[in-house]
Amino acid sequence: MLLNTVSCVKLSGRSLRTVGFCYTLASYLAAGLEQEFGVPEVKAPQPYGFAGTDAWIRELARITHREEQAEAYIAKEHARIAPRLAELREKLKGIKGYVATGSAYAHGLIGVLRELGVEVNGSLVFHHDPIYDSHDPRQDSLAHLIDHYGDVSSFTVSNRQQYQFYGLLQRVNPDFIIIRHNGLAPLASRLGIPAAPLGDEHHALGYQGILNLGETILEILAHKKFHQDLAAHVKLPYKKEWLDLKDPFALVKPENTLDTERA
Amino acid sequence: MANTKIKTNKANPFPIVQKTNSIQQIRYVCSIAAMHSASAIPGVIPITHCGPGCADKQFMNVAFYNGFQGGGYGGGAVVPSTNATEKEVVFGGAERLRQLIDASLKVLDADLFVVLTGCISDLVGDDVGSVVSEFQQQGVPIVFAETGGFKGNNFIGHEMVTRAIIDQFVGDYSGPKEKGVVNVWSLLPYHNTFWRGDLREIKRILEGAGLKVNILFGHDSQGVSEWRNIPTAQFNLVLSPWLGLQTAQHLEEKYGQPYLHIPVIPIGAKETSAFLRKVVEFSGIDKAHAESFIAQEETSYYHYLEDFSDFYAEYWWGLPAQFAVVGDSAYNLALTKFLVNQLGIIPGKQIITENPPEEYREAIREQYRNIADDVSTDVEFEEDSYLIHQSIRQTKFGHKAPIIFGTTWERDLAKELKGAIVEVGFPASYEVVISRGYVGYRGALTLLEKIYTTTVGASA
Repeated sequence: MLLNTVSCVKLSGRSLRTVGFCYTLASYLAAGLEQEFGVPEVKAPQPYGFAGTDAWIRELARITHREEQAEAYIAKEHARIAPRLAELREKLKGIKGYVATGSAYAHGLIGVLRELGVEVNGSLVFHHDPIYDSHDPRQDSLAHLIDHYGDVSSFTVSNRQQYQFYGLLQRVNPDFIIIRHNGLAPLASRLGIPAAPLGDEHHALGYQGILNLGETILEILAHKKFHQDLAAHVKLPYKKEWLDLKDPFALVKPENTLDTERA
Repeated sequence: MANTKIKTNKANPFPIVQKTNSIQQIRYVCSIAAMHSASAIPGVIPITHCGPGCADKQFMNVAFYNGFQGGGYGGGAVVPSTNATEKEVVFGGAERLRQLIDASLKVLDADLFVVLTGCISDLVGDDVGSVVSEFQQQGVPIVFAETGGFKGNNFIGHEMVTRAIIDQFVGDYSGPKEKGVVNVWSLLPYHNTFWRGDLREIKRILEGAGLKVNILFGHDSQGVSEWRNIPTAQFNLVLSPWLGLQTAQHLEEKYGQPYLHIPVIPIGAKETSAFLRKVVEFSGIDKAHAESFIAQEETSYYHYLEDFSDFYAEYWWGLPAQFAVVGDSAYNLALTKFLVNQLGIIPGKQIITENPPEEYREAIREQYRNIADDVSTDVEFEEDSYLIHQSIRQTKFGHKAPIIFGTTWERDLAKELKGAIVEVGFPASYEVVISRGYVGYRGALTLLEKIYTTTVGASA
């Protein structure tokens, strides 16, 4: 049952299980249903990349007793996407990406990018939940990312301020960024960096999502010519002194050099 | 099409089609349609010596259901015709033509008349030259071009008309040349739906760079006085993949005038600035003046591009990633160059449709092979819409529908592929075009508006 009508929401308390695939947005309602109505939430990693998707499907299969079908499906899907995935990995070799989205979604996307062989050294997430709504470690999406795909060296938690984003991009100098919110891609554009705006948030979900994201990145990389042409001809609205600072968060720190001139 | 051989098999869902001598959904017209090249010159009126219906068909095709451009001062329904019938076929049409010219001189106010012949006259062998020369000897500004349909299409007819005006009206010249003056030979008037706006922009930017420009066709031409100045220009600029080359070569022989051939009509600041620098270099005029114009134009262009970039960088619902272009070589190459180099869209399929003479094709292919420093593509030459559409159907455009830059003939195909379509060439029957142009600095911004209004409008 999808929660897309009022009558569905009314009936949701009578469901057997709740399953979500975004632990920023779905988990609050799911935890409420579990605590207040006794509807257990499926506790599994988000279905992004092979590791997450395999585990998510296996957990669903376990509680619904469909283990055999699930294993057959997993094997079939792995085999189905393998040829195109190999091609995409070849084409994306040496490409660096940057993810600037909500937290759990970013964790999922970084996993998918690394499945595609894209290097991800930086990410900006808009908040961080050290403890998820369920308080269950099986839904710790950041831990899942680090455990399966390794560390992200320049990982930033901050709201999406364009003036700070300049410094963040300088740290890793990516070939493209992934966004879902307004305000960051225009700056990247003026620096010659294309953005993949994922208007459809399900684009990168599951097995097919790995291929979808790869195709989108290839298209976006072609746009580089537009953004680099623009970058060569525009002036950013920020002062040189600000852009020269290495620390995007210098403004809120007492010991910064920005006040000296006016004083 | 009835006589096209089609084979299908299970392995290939698309039929394998063998080329025949038929053409479905035309993309060019008869050479007599070059009457539009005459009426495109202010003050010039064509006179046609052809069967009834020929001239009207050409006009309705090229100038009406193609951007609804209209006939202007001396085109369209103004054009006198001999309406040659059986009588002229059997006994010859010279006398009928003589009467028509005589009557036209009494009725029509023109600076120059251009007589164009159709298939009937050229087949029965009317001595049109001697009829016209009778009037020329009386000092009547009149020339003739024998443009029977079997001579070629309207592109070929265009160069016949320009040559007729040069040889029979402009005449010989051996005096000095004026430095910094250029004759421009570029888009085919009327056949290219946006020629008026485009020629205006080409003139504007060349003048901005410091040249004096004989644009020769369109509202910004000075008409026959400008044509009379052709021989005194420093050089000719052929701004198209091939059209105009014969004219320029003829002028080189006739007046000792050098020519500069630039195959890519520039769209967007990057290409346009590079274009201007090439022309300035060739002419040897003041570079500093040109650079200051380029800087000024780029400042304005990139301000608008910066505004556009928010949309281009973060429009949620996705934009087309691959494109196809179907159309005549001038726009086909110009658009492909712009889309690849300045928008970063991936070339899917390019098909050139005006049947360029064989000798120019390899040079055109070479342009596509080197479309960008790091992008190579290819191009097909095809005139039959049935085959063109099959070729596009068989193209892999990735996981999203392509955007097609084509003609009205591609409307149904775009629907079938669930893609977007921008009509950029003959026939563009779902565009009303007055002064709009797509080239240069300003035209590129208009083109961007057109492309993305079409794209986002599709979801309305």
